[in-house]
Amino acid sequence: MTFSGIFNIGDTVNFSPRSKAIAVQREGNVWNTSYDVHFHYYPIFQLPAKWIEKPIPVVSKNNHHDGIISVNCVSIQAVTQAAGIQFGGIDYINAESRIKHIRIIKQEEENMD
Amino acid sequence: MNIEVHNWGICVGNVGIEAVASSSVFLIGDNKEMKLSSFFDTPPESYIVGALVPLAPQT
Repeated sequence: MTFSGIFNIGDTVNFSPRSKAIAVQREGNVWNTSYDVHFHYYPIFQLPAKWIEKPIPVVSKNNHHDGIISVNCVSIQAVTQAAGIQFGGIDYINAESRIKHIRIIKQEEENMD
Repeated sequence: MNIEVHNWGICVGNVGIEAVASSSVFLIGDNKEMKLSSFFDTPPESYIVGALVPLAPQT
């Protein structure tokens, strides 16, 4: 479980995780310690999310005759990037994740034979 | 819209999931409102060959 991943058994009212990541894959065994990439370089981290202008009004009435939730076996290998696992009620979820992916490959040496 | 929910208990057998990622939710239970947003950006210019210099900001 990484990068604001949540696992919860029980009830939740509000769940609003956020995650921002710049994934740089660099070829070669040189560990990059310069940390030369910043969020403000890339517009993806400033874009506003587009939501429905007029949400549909919903009036719900819940009757909990039997409040048992029985779960036998759940096998999950990864929970990451503002994701959530919830066994139980959860009222409001507002999750957002932003990832910029960059690959830097070494120049192929042209052999001169 | 009016919804009337009658909960008589939930029984889940076996579930197998590789990954729950990028603003997603695996829920066993009730929910009122879910807003999930995910941005992913890997354009062609993010594939750089040879240049191991610091990444210039996009203006």
